[in-house]
Amino acid sequence: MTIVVDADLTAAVHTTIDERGSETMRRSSPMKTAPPTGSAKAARAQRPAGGSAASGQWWKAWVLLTSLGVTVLGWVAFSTGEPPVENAVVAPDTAPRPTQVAPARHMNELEQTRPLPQSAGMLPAMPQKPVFQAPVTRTRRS
Amino acid sequence: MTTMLHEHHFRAMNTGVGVWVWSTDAERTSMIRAGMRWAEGLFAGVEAELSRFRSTSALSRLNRAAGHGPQEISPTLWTVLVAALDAAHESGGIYDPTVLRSLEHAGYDRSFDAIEPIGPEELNAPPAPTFDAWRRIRLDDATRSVDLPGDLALDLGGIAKGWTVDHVALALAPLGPVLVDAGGDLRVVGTVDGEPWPIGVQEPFRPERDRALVRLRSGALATSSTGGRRWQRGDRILHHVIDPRTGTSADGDLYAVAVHAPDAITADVAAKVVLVLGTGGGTAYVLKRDLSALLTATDGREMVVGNFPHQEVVPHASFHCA
Repeated sequence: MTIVVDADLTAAVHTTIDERGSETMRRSSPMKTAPPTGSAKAARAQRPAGGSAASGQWWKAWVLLTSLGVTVLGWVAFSTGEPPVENAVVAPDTAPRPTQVAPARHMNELEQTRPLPQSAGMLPAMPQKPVFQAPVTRTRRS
Repeated sequence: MTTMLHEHHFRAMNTGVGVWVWSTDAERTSMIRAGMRWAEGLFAGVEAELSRFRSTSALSRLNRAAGHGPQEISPTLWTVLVAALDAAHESGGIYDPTVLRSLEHAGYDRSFDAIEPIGPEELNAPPAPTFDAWRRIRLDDATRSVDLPGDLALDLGGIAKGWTVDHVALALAPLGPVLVDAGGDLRVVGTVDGEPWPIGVQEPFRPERDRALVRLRSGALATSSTGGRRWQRGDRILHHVIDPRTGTSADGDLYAVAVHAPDAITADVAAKVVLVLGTGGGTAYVLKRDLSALLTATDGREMVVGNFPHQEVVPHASFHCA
């Protein structure tokens, strides 16, 4: 399975580690995903104030969930465009076997076929094994 | 590798002739076709030379010269006549090439197709039986000449056909496995990938059917029957197999005989001899010469003699004698 990640998402969020070892997240470019709605603003207003660490965790979770959702949406859209690689591989194995072996058997028949001479009258059947499938001629009273 | 079956059919000696040759080499196609044309020419040539129904044949000329001293004859007539006299000697005279006068008196004096199936009884006295008369024929190897007594006439029909079948089969064998069939006298040389040639054996009383299948790896098959060429004169049913001991149509207990032998001449002669001798003498004849045969009696009973290479015999009233 191939997972396609939107390049814009990777550019949207950069995680850096500062000299003190504390993890910070900053926005380096505008997100191309849907902007926060009014309800989101209201929800953000209801959060406890002054907690910078808690606020960073919320953004981190929000970005991860958003990117995951976009990824899923992209995958769904991609899967409708062309069949999964796995299906393309399995398909020949599930085809009827006679269809697969028929060409080889046909070649064998061609190699053993007896061309008919123009003077041919009575001929035995086509020579697989055994060569003769009917009497060539008969002994009869004289 | 492509295996090709070349097949050629024509009519000669008043019967259908077939020649089959297998080849795995396409470059031999032209040679095989030329060989088949040669075979057809050979059959025609032998018939022209040895047919008793052609007044211009070498055989007819010799018969007309009977009683007039030694006659130089053609190489083909010489070869076949020597083979016929050897067969007469080997069979104790039961096979006899000098029964032509008896055969003509019985009514077979023209091509069989021209014979009236029903006619009045012949009023002229029959010729005396010619049993062992063949011993009176004098051959001179140095001059290739024959002195035929005046009371004898030769019929080489059956043995000439067998000789031609053998000759063609052996001549074409270097080109591939070959089968030659002339009216039921047939010879094979070589097999196709080791597989024997399947040959049907005609059902004697229902000739449109086969009663057995012979898988022939080598040698020859010939069938003779009193039921094929028969006609009626007065109240008598006659046929073409003459018993030289009586000078008339054989009256044994056998209706049809199929013989497997190393070559077509032997098979053709043996089939006629067994038909004349009947079950008892015929069985001994076959076993003594290490041949094999399938006998059908006039009452329908069937008997296998020796190692006859057959299958699928219709299982009625049959028994085995080895």
